[in-house]
Amino acid sequence: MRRAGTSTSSTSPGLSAPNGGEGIEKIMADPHRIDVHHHIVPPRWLAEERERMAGVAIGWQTVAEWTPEKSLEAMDRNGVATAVTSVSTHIVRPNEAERSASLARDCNEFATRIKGDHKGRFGTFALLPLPHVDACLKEIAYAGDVLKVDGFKMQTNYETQWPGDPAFAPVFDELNRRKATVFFHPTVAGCCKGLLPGVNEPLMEYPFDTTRAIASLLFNGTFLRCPDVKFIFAHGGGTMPFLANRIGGLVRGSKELAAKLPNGIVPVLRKLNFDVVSVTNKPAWAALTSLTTPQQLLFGSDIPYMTIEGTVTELAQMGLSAAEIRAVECDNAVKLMPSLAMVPAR
Amino acid sequence: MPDPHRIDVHHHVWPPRWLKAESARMSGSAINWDFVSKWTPAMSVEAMDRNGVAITVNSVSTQHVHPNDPDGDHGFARDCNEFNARLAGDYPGRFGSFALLPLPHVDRCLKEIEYAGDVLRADGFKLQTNYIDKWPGDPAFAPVFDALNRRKAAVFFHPHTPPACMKLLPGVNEPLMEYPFDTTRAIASLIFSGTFARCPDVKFIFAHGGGTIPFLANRIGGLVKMRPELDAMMPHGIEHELRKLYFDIVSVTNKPAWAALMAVTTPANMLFGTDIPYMTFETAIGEMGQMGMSQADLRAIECGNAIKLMPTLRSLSAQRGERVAGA
Repeated sequence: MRRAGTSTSSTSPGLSAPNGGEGIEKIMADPHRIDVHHHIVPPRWLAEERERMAGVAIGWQTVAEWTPEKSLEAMDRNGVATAVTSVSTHIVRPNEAERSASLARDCNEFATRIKGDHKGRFGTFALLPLPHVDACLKEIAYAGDVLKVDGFKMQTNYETQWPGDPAFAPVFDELNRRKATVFFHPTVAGCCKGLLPGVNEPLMEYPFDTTRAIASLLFNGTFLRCPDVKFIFAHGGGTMPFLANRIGGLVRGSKELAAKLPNGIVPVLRKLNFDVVSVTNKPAWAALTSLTTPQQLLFGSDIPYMTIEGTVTELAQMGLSAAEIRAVECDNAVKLMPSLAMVPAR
Repeated sequence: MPDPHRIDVHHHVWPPRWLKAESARMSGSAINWDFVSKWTPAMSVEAMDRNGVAITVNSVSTQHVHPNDPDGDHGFARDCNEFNARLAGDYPGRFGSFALLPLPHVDRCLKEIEYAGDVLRADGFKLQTNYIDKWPGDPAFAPVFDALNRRKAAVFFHPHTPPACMKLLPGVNEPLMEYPFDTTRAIASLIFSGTFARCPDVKFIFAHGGGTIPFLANRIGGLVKMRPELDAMMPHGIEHELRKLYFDIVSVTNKPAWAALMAVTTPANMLFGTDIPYMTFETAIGEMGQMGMSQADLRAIECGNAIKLMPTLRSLSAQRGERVAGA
C-alpha cells in the first residue's frame, strides 16, 4: 500500500489526467487518500445519542449500524489509506462535567482501540468535553500524551457558547502550546432547533454555525493569540467564503477591531484549513477557491452520513491539477499532522 | 451629472410612524442610527442625483411583528405605504415602492395587497424573511402567496433576525451573519413548502444575493435526495428553482460571493441595490463595476432587469421627463 508522504507527488504515475479517462480510475484505486472527516460510532456514544440523532440525522440507520469494518470496506473501495476519525456531534451537558468527561474518555479510548486493531488505517481526533474547561485540559493531556492522538475535535457551539468564548481561552492556549490540530464539527445551536418544520437541521444550520464559530474565534482574537493551532473547519467553512467580505465589514466599521486586524479578516482566513465535504460543486468551490488556496483544503467524506465516492468523484471535477488534487487528498493533511506520515504500513 | 439610469431596489426609507415605533429597538442595534433618525427624502434624492440613480424602489427595512395585534400591525403597514405614496407624488418619477405587508395577519395582508396594489399603485410588495416563528413558506401564509401570484406581483424579501438568534455572539451585530442565514432559511422554506412551484408568476426578489443560498444550493439539493417528500417539492431540481429567482447585489459584489452567484444564476436575475444607509451608492456602483460584467449585462443589472420585473417603473421614468431608464 502506498503511504501518504509529505513530498510533492506531481510526478506520480497515473495522476497526470485527473479530469477524465483512465486517470480517474487510477486515482480512485490508488490508496493514498487521508479522510479527515470520517465519523465513528462508539458504543457509548450510540447509547447516549440514539434518541436525539434518530430524529434529526439523515440516513440514521446506516449510522446506527456502523462498524469499523464497514469504514474499512468503503476506504478500500475508494483508495483511502487512512481516516482520521471523530464522533459527529454530542449532547452538551453544562451541568454534568463528570459525565461529559467520561463520554469523551470512552470515545477516545474506543478510537485508540480501532487504531491499534487496524494499523495504519485510522488516526484520531480526540473528543474534548467542553464546556468543562478543567476536564478538557485533563483530556487534552491524556489523549495527547497517553493515547497519542493526531488532533482534537470540538463542536462549533456548546449551547450558548461559541469557541471564541473568553471562558474557553485556557483550552486554546494549551492547544497552542502543543501546536495541536483541531477539527471543528458543526452542531445545531440551541437557538436554532426546529426552526423550519420538517427540514433536517444539519442541512443549513450546520454551515451557519460553522460560520458563527469562525467569526467567534476571529473577533475574540483566538486566531491571533493562538497562531500555532492548526484549525480545520468542516464543509469548506460553512458559508464563510460566501460571507467573508460582508463579515469583514465589521472590522472596517470598528476602530478596535481594525487595530487588531489591520489587513482585515482575509489574511487570517487564509491560515485556516477546510475540509471539502459538501463544497465539491461549482458555486461553492468557486467561492472557496476565490478566498483560499488548494493548500488549505483537506479531503473528507462525512461517512457514514455521506459517501466517500461522492467526494472522490466530485473533487476530480473541480479543475485542480494532479499535484493539487494530491495535496488536497493527502499531502496537506500530513503537513498538518506529521503523525499520519509515521503510521506504519498495513 | 452621471447618466441617471440606475434603479435601486434595496433602498430604505423611514416613515415617521416607523421611526416612532422602532427607535427603541433599532437605536440599540442598527448601524448608522444617527443617519437614520435624521433621514429626509431630500437626502435620498441628493445622493441619487450624485450617483446616477434614476429611481429607488423604497421599502422599510424591518419591523416589529405583533402576532396578537392585527389592527396595530395593519395600521402600521398602511401608514408606511401611504407615506411612500406621498413621497412618490412629492418627487415625481424618482420613487417607486414595495408596499409593506402586515404578516403574520393573513386577512389584513390580503386587504393591504388590494389597497396598496389597486389604490396606491405600489410597484411591488415587501415581506420579511421570518415572522418570529414562521418562515414565508408556512402553510398559513399560502393565501397571501396565491393572491400575489394572481397579481403576478414582485415581492422583495428583506432579512430579519429571528428572535431565537438574537445576541448569540457578544459584540457582533446580528445583521452581519443572521441576515444572510435567515434569507437562506426563507428561500428553503419557500422551496420545501412548494410555494415556488405553486406560484410561478410571483417575481421573488431576495436581498444580498440570496443570503448564502448560492454557496449551499448543492448541499441542500443533494441531501434532500434522501427525503423523497422534500425532493418532490422541486421536481426539476434546486438549480431550476433558483434560476427563477431574483437577487439584489448588496454585499455580494466581491469575488468569492459573485463567483458562487454566477455559478447558480445569470446576470438577468440580478438587480442593482444599495441598502442605503447601511451601505453607500458609491460602494455598490464601484464594486459592481469590478465584477467583470459586459456593458450590456451591467446595464441590465443596473436597470433593465428591474423594469422587466416591474413594468410600472417604466412610467416613472416617463414622468421624470428624462431619458427612459433601461431597456
